[in-house]
Amino acid sequence: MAAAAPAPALMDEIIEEILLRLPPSEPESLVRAALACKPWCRLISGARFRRRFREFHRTPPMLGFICNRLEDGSDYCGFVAHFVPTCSFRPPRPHADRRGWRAVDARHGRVLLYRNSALEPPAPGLVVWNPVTDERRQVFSMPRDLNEWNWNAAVLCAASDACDHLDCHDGPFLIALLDSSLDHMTLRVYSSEVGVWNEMTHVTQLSKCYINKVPCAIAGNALHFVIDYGIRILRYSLATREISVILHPPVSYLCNTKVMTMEEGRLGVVRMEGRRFSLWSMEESPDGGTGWSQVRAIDLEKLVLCRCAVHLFQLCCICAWCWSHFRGHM
Amino acid sequence: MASAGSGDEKAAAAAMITLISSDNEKFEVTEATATLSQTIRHMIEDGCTDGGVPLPNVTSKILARVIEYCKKHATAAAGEEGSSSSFSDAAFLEVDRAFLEELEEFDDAFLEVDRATLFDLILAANYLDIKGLLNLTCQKVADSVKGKTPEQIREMYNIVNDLTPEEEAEIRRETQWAFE
Repeated sequence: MAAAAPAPALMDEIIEEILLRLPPSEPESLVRAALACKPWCRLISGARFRRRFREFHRTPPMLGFICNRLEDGSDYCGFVAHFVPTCSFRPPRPHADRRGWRAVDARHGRVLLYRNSALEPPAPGLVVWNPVTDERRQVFSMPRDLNEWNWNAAVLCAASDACDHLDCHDGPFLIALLDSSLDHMTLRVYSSEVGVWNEMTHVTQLSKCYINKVPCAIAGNALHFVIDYGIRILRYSLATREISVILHPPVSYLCNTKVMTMEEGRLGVVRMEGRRFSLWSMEESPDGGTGWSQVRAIDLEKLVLCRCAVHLFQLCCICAWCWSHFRGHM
Repeated sequence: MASAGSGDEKAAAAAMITLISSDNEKFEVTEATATLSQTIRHMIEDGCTDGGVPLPNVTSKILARVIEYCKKHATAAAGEEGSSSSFSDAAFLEVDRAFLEELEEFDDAFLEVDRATLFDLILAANYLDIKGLLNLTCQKVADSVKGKTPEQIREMYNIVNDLTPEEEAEIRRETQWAFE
């Protein structure tokens, strides 16, 4: 029994105000609160609350990242898309269920997984996985002429910049797939609404170009792929469907390069040269050209993480809201 | 209590508002303090504050605390306006920072109350529509819910569990990670 005077009953609207302020980075708080009683469960799993919670906090919490691990004793394409949590959340099924799958990209609450067609049992090449609900949506037809050894892809919400991505993870998506052959590069886009790949966009001036297998980044309503061993970035405009090529910050041989979206929506590049980690931001000059400015440099020598840092470049971070999956029950 | 008079305060001093609690106690406050409440602001705008503003949902004990909050935050708001309209040099920023820190300390001390008082403050903040106070008090309760098990939450807030064992088991099964 409470020793203090009994607390007055709070109206539903005030309960909502309180629950809205639970931290998204500790997603277990909301799930546990939902189990207090039916009215709280109904409130938390209702569409209105979900929407308000997302609007209140704006940035979805980071649930974890996906690390593509090679299985012991398997050949080189025997990956397991391993979920590494950064908070209490865990996907409904264990990572063993993603044996043979490699995470290619993650964005807007979706993860793009790929399975090599040579693996047994045969399975569709690309799947869009929602790690919160465990729903998997197949991409029915992989392009037949895809160069299986040299490609990369990005998944994104079909509404791209017309959506605030607060509640779109179950909605239609796009996959942009870039591959390279002897004399040209090809970019095609798959729409889940139509279920087909659109016409190809060719880039003929780039031949025998290596496509880095690192996740893409969106900046300025364009997708950015790292190509040419990290020397160049291929930009695909989602609005005009045009392709252009940008050069990276001052080149140094064989450094690890990853693109990212900066806080203000600009394109950023993270590079690792030896033990030195640097972050660059792309600046547009008044004459329409582009340049790079270094935002930060970290010497990893002193950090415990330094041995693992190279692998960080291959990770897909998953940021999503994660309690929507019991919404149908009340 | 009254801080050194600025121009704003003199102007506001002319317009005093009387607030009347549910137990009929009268509180004289400046308009600047009273209008942190949107509910009272609208009443002033509609010209219906003559003879005092009756607040039948708020006891004198709670109203005194609410006024304490509003006084402090009204001074803060007046200070902010003053500094942005005049100088913007480093000295002013320093003063602003010190003031914000002081305000934070005030808020922390203000929240050192028992649960019943905290809930009464939430109800008053909601009724009087004082956004800052509602945010502050709701966040305090949210912080106390955080990290608790469903059983602990029920006990803390006198909640009767009306979920059937099957419903509870199903949700627990689907969100096992939240209970590990």
